[in-house]
Amino acid sequence: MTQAKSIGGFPLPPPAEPPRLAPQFLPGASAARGIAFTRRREEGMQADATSALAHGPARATPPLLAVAGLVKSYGPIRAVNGLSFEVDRGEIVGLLGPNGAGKSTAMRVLVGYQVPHAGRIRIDGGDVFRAGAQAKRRLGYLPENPPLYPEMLVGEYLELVARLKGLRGTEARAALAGVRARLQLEGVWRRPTAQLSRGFRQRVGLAQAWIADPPLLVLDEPTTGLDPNQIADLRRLLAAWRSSKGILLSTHILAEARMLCDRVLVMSRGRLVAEGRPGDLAGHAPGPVATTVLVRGSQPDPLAGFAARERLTAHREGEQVQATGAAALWRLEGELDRGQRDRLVAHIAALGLELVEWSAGLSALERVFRRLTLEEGEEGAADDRVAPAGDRPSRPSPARNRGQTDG
Amino acid sequence: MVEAWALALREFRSFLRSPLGYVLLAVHALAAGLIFVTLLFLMREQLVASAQESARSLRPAAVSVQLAVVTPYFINVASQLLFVIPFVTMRSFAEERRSGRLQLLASYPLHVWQLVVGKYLGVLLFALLLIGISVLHAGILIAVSTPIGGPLIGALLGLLLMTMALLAIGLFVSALAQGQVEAAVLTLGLFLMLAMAGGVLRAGSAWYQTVIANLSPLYQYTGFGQGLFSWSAVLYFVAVTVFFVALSARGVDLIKWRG
Repeated sequence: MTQAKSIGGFPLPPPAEPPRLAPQFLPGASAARGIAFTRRREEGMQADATSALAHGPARATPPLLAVAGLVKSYGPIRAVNGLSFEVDRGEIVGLLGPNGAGKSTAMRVLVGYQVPHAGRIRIDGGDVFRAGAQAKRRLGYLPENPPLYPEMLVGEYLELVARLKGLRGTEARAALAGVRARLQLEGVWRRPTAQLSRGFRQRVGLAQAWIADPPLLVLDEPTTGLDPNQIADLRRLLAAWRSSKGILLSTHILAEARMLCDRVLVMSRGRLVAEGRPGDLAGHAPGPVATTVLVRGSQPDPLAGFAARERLTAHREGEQVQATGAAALWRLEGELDRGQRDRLVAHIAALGLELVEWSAGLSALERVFRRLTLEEGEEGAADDRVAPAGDRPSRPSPARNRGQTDG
Repeated sequence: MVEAWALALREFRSFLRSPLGYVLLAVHALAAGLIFVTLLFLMREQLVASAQESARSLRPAAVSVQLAVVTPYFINVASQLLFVIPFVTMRSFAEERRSGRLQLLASYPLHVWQLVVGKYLGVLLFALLLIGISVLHAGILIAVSTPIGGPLIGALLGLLLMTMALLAIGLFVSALAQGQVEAAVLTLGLFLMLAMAGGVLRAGSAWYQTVIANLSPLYQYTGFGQGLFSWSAVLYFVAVTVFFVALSARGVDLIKWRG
């Protein structure tokens, strides 16, 4: 098969660099760091000989989305640096990362809006840039703030999208009726998109992504700006789509990733720094969760017995003077499960203690996320610039990362 | 082509659903109407003067409608379009890009050609309304006088060809600009430079002056306005249109590289 050498007159990016495996969980690896997974730099680029496109033994069907060695630079800044991963049918994959990690840039490249400087993107086997239209028929994309045409009615807009996505006649009418009913757009169908609330704008955005029923959905921060009811609706919808589609969603809300995603990819400064199930990631959280319980009572050490039984650590943090008297501040170390929480409440009630305040620390996934992204931020800073290794200063400087693009 | 036509209709409707479209139509209609009415009054004065002269000299009264109205009207309207068209094309790609809609369109199974041709046809449909004002004036002129048909039709055809070329240039600038104001200012500046090149550097002097003068759309249109049909001018307008529409497609590709 002959391959085009240019896209629209511009040269195609060079063939994918030697593929780089996304860091995988390998129990026991890097144990000294407290996180049991490999890191790209620790393993070494040369060791990543296996392509993400040739993942394991020969597959019957290609993955819905296969990204290999993706690089996108803005001037000297590498916004996406060697990103490789796959998304299969029947799974929701979360792309996590702090603002500026390169998530949105990666998504813009994935959907064909920007041309990568290196790497390959295949949607259901078709290259996004070489077989653009064919590959994009398999894709539905929701940008972070769905950009609609303000002068158009919702129905008109979705009719236009259906036509642009190649739907005609009865097929188009059925698709429009489907999104109208499924996303509850009946009430706003004849309303200009400029007059829609944030929630409805998001629904119309989802409708345009879903209207041709593509097998792959790429959703950029889909819950941003939605109220809790709308978020719950969206989660139900994504859960319903899970069996028939592959969904890649970017988010920086870790609770959302924990609830929705089968797998998460953590990006920091353009790199993939971890990949795995949310539970597995959380299982490698550094240190215990700190739960702070503020109780008032006459006992000298009211939580000691409970802490000993539950193998937790309790210690006195200090004393807080309140209008009604002094209250001891007790700190518990350890991630309390539901049973432990119930037993702690029962313990406090049994001793007649007054519960003044109860606050939990970061969840395990949040702590893993913080550790990965903060550490990676410090360590990865030196690699952000596309410069010969010899030109790089030995110590990273925060100023060098000012040009980092949006997340 | 269905996709390009769907985009064209959306683009055209966006003009009719926004104040900008009506403002542009109103400004153009008012200015062209003022020119037309003024020229009609001037022609009437010339007729009166000619009638008085013919009474004295016993020669038949004669005023050329072509020289009195058609030529000055179309030359003025063509100049006026240089100021209007930048505001027609400014939103085409610059606004799509700024709003993020270009990103969404890029994720659809569309070829860049469908996108560019759709945008071009959309602005052309709106520009036909602008030219429609001149068609209306031509109809009034036919009703109140006896202009020669050929040059009048030629002037209208030339106006359409020049508008198509200007729209293509404006579309290209919009594909490169970061925002619609920048697109409008750059397009207007480019049009004025080209117009000045045609006005100041008259053809027939040095060879480079001839080349530069011939690059000016207004210079190329002058023949049509004077009732002279020129195949080289037709070729010029068609070539400029095709060249800049093609360049607009490259401009959209460039956005994909620049981000």
